[in-house]
Amino acid sequence: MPLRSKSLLIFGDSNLASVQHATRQGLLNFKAGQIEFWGGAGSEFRHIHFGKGGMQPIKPSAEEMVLRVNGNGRKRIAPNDFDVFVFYGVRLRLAEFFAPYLSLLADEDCAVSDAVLRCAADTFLNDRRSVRMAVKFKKAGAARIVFAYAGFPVWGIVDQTEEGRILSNYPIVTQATEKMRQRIWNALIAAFESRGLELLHQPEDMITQGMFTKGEYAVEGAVEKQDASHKAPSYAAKLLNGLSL
Amino acid sequence: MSNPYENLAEKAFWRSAVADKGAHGLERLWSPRFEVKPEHRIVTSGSCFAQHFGKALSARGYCWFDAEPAPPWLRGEDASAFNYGVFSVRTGNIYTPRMLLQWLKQAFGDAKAGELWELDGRWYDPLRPVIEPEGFTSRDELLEARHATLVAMRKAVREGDVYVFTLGLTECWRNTESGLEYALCPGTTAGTQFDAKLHRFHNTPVSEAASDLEAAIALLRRENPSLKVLLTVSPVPLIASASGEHVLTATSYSKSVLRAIAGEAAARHDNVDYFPSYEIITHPVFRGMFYASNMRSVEPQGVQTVMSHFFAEQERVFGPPSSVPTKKKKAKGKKRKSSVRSSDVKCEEELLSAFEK
Repeated sequence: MPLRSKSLLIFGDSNLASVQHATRQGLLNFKAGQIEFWGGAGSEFRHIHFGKGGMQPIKPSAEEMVLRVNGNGRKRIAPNDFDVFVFYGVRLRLAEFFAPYLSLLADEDCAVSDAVLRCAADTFLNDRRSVRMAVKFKKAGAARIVFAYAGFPVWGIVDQTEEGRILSNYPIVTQATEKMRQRIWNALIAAFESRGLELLHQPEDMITQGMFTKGEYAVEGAVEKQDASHKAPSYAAKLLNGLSL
Repeated sequence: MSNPYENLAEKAFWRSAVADKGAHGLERLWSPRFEVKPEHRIVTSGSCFAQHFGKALSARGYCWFDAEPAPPWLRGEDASAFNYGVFSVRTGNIYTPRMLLQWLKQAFGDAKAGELWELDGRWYDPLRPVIEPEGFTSRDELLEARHATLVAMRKAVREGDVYVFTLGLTECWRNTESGLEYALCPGTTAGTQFDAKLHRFHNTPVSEAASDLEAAIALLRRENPSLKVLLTVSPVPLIASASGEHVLTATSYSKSVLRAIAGEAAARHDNVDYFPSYEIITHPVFRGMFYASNMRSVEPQGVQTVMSHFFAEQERVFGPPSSVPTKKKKAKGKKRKSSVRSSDVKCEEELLSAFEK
């Protein structure tokens, strides 16, 4: 009897756009049976909650958004609806964690032990709503949940030395090495695993200047829109093609 | 005919200063030599009682100098477990004058790694064996952490205004070959086995403790001539004594030596003072009321009483403190939030365009 292809739900925020484009452009090469999108952008994403054993929008505007993204009339997601749930983007913002820690690791007068890093990663994830939601969803019976990181800000789109941006607070991160990044990824992966979750991290060859995404992965019109956050379909494809099903 | 006692202040006489006042009415126990202002960067180190001092200063809005702050998202109990935010520098407890001197020599002179402990693949720092609850993953990780702490110690000493050091013990353990004094008796914590040939008990005599303290003060002042040193003695009794004496009499010896050398140092140097937290907790006039039932742990009320004397005497001598510096973090938080909101707008557009029909 042939194995059934796994069904996949890609749940996310505005970063779902790059996945959708990648799908339409045929850039995704993994073999899943049924693939559906589900989620909402920005404030609507915040109105998606876990409750009564599943995830659902709690406001009409969020419901409208979810239905539009999904296209199959799926208002609610239950743990047994799909074999694999990919939490894409989901406002995880790992750059907020990487920036101070790479800054510490790149400074030869500072030190962070692996144990401290691991402990901090745990707290950081506890503070993320999407992670808390995933933990509940997993407990409710979801077989597999994979977080896919939507990537560091794209290099060369905005002036990162401007006040409030990464390099204004953490200029030394441009000196961060692969080894330093790997220590942080390891801590985060372990923190996800301790919750029964997985993390699909940004591939190393997409990173530049310590903790930025290479310019080639910028969303179309990124400079005009001054949007360093969203990525091109090629980013989503490269990331998700690393997903083993 | 007059005599030297005739014109002495009320505080010089037991009846008027103690018997008539009672434990709760005592005042002028301390005449501070220098002002400690809220804006002064106050460094705390030493025995465990110094932790209370730092926390109490922070709670009062004073500028406790955290020279080696916990990294982000390491908070509360987690930070404490890794010994961040306990003292100004992540040294762990420094019980003796020799230990303080060793740390200062490492920071300002010979920073050789020296003896390190390895057990079952984990690495431990003999100067602070419990700083990482499970030990370090490698020798390099340990040495990097030591280096960071020495950098922080240099910063604390050079940029601090007041250095509070709480003396804790005279009993210690030393390496017979190198002379290194350990923070704790080897073998009582993870990291190494006790070796009777290598690990020797030492109960520091007055002269040696005084000499070590003097050398430590000299080093502090060399690095920061304007640094003021405030000495205290921990009122917490020894948990155990290896001296062969009863732990109670051993405690008396230890604390007496420390109290004496602190007094001497304060008498010798203008910028060194002794604050009597030890007397406030231990003196018979207080009838042990500040100790928990084990007669060792100090109750929060004791700490509160110590600190109320500290602030009251500061105010009596120097007047009310100037306004407490305000924290500036709120403004940053607001800005961050507004930038999140503007990115929401962008996100909305991005997603809608991808899923438009």
